[in-house]
Amino acid sequence: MIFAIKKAALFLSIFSAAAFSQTAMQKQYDYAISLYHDEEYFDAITEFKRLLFFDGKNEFSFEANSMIGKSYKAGAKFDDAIRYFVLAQITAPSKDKVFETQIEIIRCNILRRTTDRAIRILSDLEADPSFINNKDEINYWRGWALMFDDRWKEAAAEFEKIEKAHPLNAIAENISKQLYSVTLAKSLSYVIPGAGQFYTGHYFSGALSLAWNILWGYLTVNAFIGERIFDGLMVGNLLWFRFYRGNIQNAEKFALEENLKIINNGLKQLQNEYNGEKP
Amino acid sequence: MKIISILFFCYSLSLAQSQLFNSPQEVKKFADYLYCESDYLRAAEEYQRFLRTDKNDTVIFKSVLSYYMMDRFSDVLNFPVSSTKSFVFYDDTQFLKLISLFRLNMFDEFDIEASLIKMSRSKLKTNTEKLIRFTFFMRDSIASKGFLVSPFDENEKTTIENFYERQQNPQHRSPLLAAVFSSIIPGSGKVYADKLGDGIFAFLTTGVFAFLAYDNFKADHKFRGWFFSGLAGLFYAGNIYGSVAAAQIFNAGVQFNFQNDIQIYLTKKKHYLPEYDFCN
Amino acid sequence: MVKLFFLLLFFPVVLLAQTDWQKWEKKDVSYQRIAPFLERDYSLSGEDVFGSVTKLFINTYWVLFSNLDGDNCPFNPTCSSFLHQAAKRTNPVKAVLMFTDRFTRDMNPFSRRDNYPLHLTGKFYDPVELYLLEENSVHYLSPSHMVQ
Repeated sequence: MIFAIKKAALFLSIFSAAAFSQTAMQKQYDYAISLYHDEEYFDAITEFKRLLFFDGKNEFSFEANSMIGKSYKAGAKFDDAIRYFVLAQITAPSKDKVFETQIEIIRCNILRRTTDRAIRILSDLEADPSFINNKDEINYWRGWALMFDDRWKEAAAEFEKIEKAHPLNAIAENISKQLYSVTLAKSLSYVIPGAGQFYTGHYFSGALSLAWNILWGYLTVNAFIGERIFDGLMVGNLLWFRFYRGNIQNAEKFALEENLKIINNGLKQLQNEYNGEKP
Repeated sequence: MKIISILFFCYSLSLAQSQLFNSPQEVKKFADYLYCESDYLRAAEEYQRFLRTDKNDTVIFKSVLSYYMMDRFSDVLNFPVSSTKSFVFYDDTQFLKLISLFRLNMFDEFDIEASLIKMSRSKLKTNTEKLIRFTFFMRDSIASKGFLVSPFDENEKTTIENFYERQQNPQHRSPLLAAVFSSIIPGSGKVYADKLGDGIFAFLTTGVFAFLAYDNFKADHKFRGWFFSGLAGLFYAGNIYGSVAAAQIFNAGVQFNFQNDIQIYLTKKKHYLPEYDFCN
Repeated sequence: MVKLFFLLLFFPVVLLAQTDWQKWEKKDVSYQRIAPFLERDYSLSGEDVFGSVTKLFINTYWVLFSNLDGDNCPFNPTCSSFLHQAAKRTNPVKAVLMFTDRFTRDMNPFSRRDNYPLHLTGKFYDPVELYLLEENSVHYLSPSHMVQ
């Protein structure tokens, strides 16, 4: 009886010691997490690195690397964030965690505007049969990557795959319809100087451009008709050609400017007003 | 009694485990790891944490070295270290402060610190002498070739001699001469200031306007003649002005490249700081 | 095996990545893109009488000519802005001389990369300070560096 009690007490002590050492790691993890939640990201990274250093059995490897990645992401240090997410992915305990980390990497790529990489990773995920149940999420983030890549029509199509009435589908579709065609603006200006500017709503610039081109064109032709070849070449080359080329450049510039305004308004709306998951 | 001892041992062990991350030795271990990962700011903070409870000369030096590696020279200079020779890394720390003063271009303070190092019979006296020579180049001070070259090894002497030659004969261009050249032949002052393309175009511009002026006067187009004459005169004067500016910019470039080459050389030599193998 | 490969690949990268030599705070990233287009400053504020007159002429030139004949100036600041800044810093005569010199350099399309550093806007950086003929203001700008 006494021997049994002794045995039990010994077992309890060893178990408590083991439990306490696990508690120390967990305490460190909890402390680091509290710093993260207090937005002390730099210090949180220090504590997670400390945890990793002393975690000989790599029990917290995935969580710590993942949280370091999230801390760097919060500080907009996306290169470092991606590195740690990759390390977390290597030690991920399950396929779900691998997917979760890949999505974090995709979000970092979207935010640092390396959207081609984000799209490539999404394609790889889509091709992987183990993620067949995550199709909606893959389409969702591909939609975001395409929006950041200014491919609004394609983005709308991605959101439509998830749900026809998806709110982001409507936003992307709306922006896509508002955008000006840069090619059309330039083509119009090739044919009629100033027409491209009119198309993009810059009427004063368009009218002036047309006026200058008419004036220099008239003077050039007049000079050649009057056999003043040198004058004709000077006016034609230094003035008419310069203003004609400027007209085409302006048509392109205004189309790009207006499109940037539309896109930035859309992105601002997405950042400030959209309640769903964002990069 | 046995059971109580075992119980006591196990609970002590568990308590020690819970102190795992906070004991001075573990803090130092983690700091050393961060240092070897080049995570110097975190390493410096951990070393500071260690030094609050324990004193260790290597840790003190590694703290200073961490700030130096991050180019935080003001922190190196303001770091409180023992001023006694009993501090194991006394000479190394003094030399680190000397390099920091050099890199901050604080040459007056550098001179004082260098004298103190020489007087204290530091093991890094030769390194100090080498750095002193470079201040002569950086401050454009005068010194004899023999004096400048003296502390260097044979394989470095040629490089130092080259720097000396460049300092003595800087290959400057005279702005006055550039102006005179350009007033005689438009554009030649710019060519003299190593701007060949600009010189040619200045010559062509002034020449074309002068020709147009002459041609129009010849054809009795007085207004056009005076108009192009005015332009020719304007570009002629502008070219003289530009030649002076080009010579000044050329001279600034010579000075910049000289100092830049010295900085590159010193960076390659790590400012003669000894190698410290703390990571193996 | 694949995991080990990635581990070996990325550990050296981790060792080299040192953005943490300064303490940093949380940073909110704006989704909006920065407009790369040249913004003209048409304001007359802070100008004296002569400056205002000059600026009015330059504004008129911008509106009627420069904004319409395309992006021709390879430099930052543009030639007209250079003239305006030169007039502000010096006197009319010196400003005109500086402008004609700048115009000549503008005409030379060769070896710009060897002589001028690149500005963030993609133009070659050529500030007024270098041409004031004041020893203190002349400083060398290495063509190998990018100017912000």
